[in-house]
Amino acid sequence: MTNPPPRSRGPDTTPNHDCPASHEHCGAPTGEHPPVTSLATVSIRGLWLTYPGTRWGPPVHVLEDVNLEVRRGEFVCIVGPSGCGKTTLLNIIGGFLTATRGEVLVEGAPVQGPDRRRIFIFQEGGVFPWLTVRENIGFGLDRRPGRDTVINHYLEMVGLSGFERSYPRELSGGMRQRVEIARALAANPEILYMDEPFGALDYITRFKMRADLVRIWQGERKTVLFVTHDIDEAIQLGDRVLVMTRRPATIREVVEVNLRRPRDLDSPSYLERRDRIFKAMGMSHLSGGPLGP
Amino acid sequence: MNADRMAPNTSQRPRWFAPVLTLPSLVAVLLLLAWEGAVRYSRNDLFPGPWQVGLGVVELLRKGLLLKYTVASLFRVTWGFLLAVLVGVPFGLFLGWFRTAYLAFNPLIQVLRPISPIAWIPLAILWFGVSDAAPVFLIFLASVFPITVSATAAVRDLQPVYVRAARNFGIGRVQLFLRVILPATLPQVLTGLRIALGVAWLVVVAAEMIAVNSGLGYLIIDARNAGKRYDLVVAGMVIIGLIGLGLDLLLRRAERLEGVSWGYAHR
Ligand SMILES: Nc1ncnc2c1ncn2[C@@H]1O[C@H](COP(=O)(O)OP(=O)(O)O)[C@@H](O)[C@H]1O
Ligand SMILES: [Mg+2]
Repeated sequence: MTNPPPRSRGPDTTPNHDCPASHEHCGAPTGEHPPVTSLATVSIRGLWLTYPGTRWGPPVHVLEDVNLEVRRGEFVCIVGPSGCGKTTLLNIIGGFLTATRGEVLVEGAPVQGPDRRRIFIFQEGGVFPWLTVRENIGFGLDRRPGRDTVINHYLEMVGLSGFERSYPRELSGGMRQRVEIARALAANPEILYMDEPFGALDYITRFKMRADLVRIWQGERKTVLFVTHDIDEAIQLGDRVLVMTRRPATIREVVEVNLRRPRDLDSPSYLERRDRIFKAMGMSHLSGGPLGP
Repeated sequence: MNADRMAPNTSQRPRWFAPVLTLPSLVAVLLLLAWEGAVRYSRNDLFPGPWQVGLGVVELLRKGLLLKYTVASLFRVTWGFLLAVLVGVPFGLFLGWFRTAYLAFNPLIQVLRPISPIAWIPLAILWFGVSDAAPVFLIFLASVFPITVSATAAVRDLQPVYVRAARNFGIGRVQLFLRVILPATLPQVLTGLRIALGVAWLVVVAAEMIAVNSGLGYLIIDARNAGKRYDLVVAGMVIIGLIGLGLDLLLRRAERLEGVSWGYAHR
């Protein structure tokens, strides 16, 4: 994948900041346009989100001043405790939800809604149960010649050749995830947003899926924003790991992983990164594991 | 039972011994014997035994009435039911998708729904006279509510993740309807149709007893009024039951069709 020439935003595309006149709290520089590095494909400034109160409960402050940048071709993991707002954040980035304030730029333009150049892979599983594996993978493709070739290519890539006529209910959870990944890749998006895609799978399957995802990503070089609550998963996959705090959540720490793939899970450098993330999430090894106090 | 299901082909039993057929047949034979016994024991002249009912069916067949009245009833059910499908499915899907429409119309539906279609018979006769239109209208009323309600529920139960996933691929409203909402709701809609057809078949008999002078409902009331022919009354009842079973089997078959079968737990 080659990088397109750097984009500079003209004066007409000034983003509308909803935060107060001074941008101190949201990290965006005041006055001038915030600088956009040519490599940033997703860039988020001062993002806040509050779910409005319902008849049954008060408003929920979920995101508080989230800032992040994702570079083109990068594999970024967001890790955080359950319920901290990871899905909420990814839904905003994916265009399914509007932030209370702050801005989300993708390729320099504010996100207006979902876009077929950035495909979302859902925590709940978004494979259509009424379509076969083949029809699912082809869902985002027009009826143009070469459609079958594309479908076959991705069927094979995710290891589902021979199951193309099966319905999702006839597949295991891991295979369904493979279908969803293949469907996303077949649409040839620039970015993949993955929301705990392996969260519902058993330990062994999860391991295999991660290895396969890395292999696929190394072949396709898409930008990936991958959300998980599993610290090990984040370090095994990501170029960088963004650590989210509890609600109201913000990004507390960015850990550069910088290890060659496939990663040696026993190496001191791996364990050092793991330690840093545990600490950032407020859990040292001694005071208990991920479920500790 | 379970063993039969696990190894259907390696069973030691002869092929004809299929519990799904033999057990009900056994029950039927016992029931017929008890019926015959009861009639003989009570020495009742009016109430027919199973043999007389069988003869009654043959008589109706020979006179051509059975075919004629069955066709008349099925004709009314077909029209009333089809109209209900044409109105109920789109309207139900619409109510399921648009919250405002749901809020506006649902209370009205919930008030009309519990009114038995039988209660509409006087109005149906007032509006349509003694014609085919009256029972068709009643059947429409009987089936349109279950159809609408099940279509509405199907859309409201639709997992939002499917809509999001589809919108992510940039498809428009029409495509979203055709490729997601319709296929996703089809199994539940079909179940609604099956329930509605059952109700429609119940109602046509009642409607024909009062509002017209043909059909299986008319056959029953006429056999009684014209000569206390209870053998024909019971013959009519048996035929109504068998046809109702046939209609239900037909729609059960439809549930196995490709495109909806994914939505049912396979038993
Ligand atoms: N639509 C909603 N309305 C109100 N509260 C919500 C809604 N969706 C999520 N929440 C709340 O926001 C918090 C963050 O949810 P979520 O983003 O799903 O967390 P995560 O994905 O990190 O587990 C949770 O406490 C959840 O209960
Ligand atoms: Mg989540």
